[in-house]
Amino acid sequence: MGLYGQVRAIREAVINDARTHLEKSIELNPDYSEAHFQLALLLKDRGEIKKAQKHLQKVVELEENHVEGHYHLALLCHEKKDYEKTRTYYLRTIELDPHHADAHYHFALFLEEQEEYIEAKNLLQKTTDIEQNHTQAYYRLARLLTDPDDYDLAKQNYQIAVDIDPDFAEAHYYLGKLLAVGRRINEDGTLVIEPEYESAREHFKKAIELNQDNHKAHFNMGKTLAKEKEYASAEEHFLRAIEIHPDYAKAHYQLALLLIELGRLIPEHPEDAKKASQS
Amino acid sequence: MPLSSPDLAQYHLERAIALDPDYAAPRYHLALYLKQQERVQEALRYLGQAVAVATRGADALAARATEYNENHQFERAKRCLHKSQAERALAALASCEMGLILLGEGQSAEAEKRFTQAVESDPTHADAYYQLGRIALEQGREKEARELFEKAVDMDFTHAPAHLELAFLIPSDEDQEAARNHYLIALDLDASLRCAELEKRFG
Repeated sequence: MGLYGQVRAIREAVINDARTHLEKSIELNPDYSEAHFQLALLLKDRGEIKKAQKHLQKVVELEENHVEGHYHLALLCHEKKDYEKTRTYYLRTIELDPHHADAHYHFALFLEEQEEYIEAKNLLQKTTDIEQNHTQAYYRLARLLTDPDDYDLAKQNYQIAVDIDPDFAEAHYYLGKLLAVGRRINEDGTLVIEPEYESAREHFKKAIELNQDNHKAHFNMGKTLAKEKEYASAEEHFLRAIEIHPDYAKAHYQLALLLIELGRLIPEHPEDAKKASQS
Repeated sequence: MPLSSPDLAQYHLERAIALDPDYAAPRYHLALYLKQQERVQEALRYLGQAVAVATRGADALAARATEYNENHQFERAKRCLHKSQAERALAALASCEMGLILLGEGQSAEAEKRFTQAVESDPTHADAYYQLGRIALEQGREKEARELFEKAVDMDFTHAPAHLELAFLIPSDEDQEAARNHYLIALDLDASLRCAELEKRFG
């Protein structure tokens, strides 16, 4: 057995031991709420959802103000797609602890699924007010701010997410996309398209550094470079996107448009066109 | 023999079409590319496909938007409607391009049908109104032509050729100021327009 196997075996033995002790505690004292709660978490981790729910319900029955009991019941009901109960348990958690950042965050994700976007945004905002380093909340909030009216706010939230966690690949990627499109409402209320290609490129570059197989980041980097007439580099990124994902229709399409553009520059030979784009 | 850049472009456009049969844009661009190479019949075939695929896509997206609206999923409905409009705009572009090719082939009746199809797909497509105006003018339907050119500049104020046609079409005894304005706008928008005759007319 390898080291990893040994660690796993030890961990399994410890968990089983803990489970036995918790079950024994409950047997001795059926109203021991903390034992029910810890056993529920253990069972949830092991995928025994029904049993976990039963113990969590016992927790909130024994202690109606048990914040974590309500919170974990909400998470569990969400997982089981029991939407009504999910809502009830999240609301109760927040009522009991108005500063529970994760409850706000996960409730927001739930509401986003239910397409209650305004409320989801408010909850994410609240999450970042409570916990100022909640990178995921900044990121999710930015993802929800898709209206051109919210461009600056979205940019700001993505920026905070990557400032807190410079290795947050998805935040870099989506920030890059936002900047590359640059669709926003001006101060005078008109819709303007003002891409920030240079900054967009930096974020796509970072996203690629963090995950070299991110075909979408290569694709968007290629599009940005093509817009800036850096055709040779753009071609490299489109080709890389296709290499990673050969069935990526959009990449084939954009590469074709680029090749037509190159053909127009120097119709005789692609190598010459490449040189022309580099000069 | 290695593929040259344009051949590679065709390869990738065909690959995109094969990978995603519901993707209208590569069909449209492949048609433009073939037209450039004077492969008119192939270009027309791909443009026809682009119109069909884009229209089908737009209809499906509009139907989905209705469903979302009925289920009070308004954000999703809005997104579907935007995408549907973009598909219709692409269908209009492809129809208009077909019209231009057919016009070049001397098939003005067929071309007129395509331009009409373009404004049906996208009622904001200025160039299709302009082309319909040109056909109407050639057939002596001046009043209709003028309305169509006016529609073109309503949809796109920067459509210089439509302004130019209006400058010609407005009778001098009717509203010389308006005619002069269209002329000046046309010149302002596109200084390369040949306006010697207009200069003679308006001084």
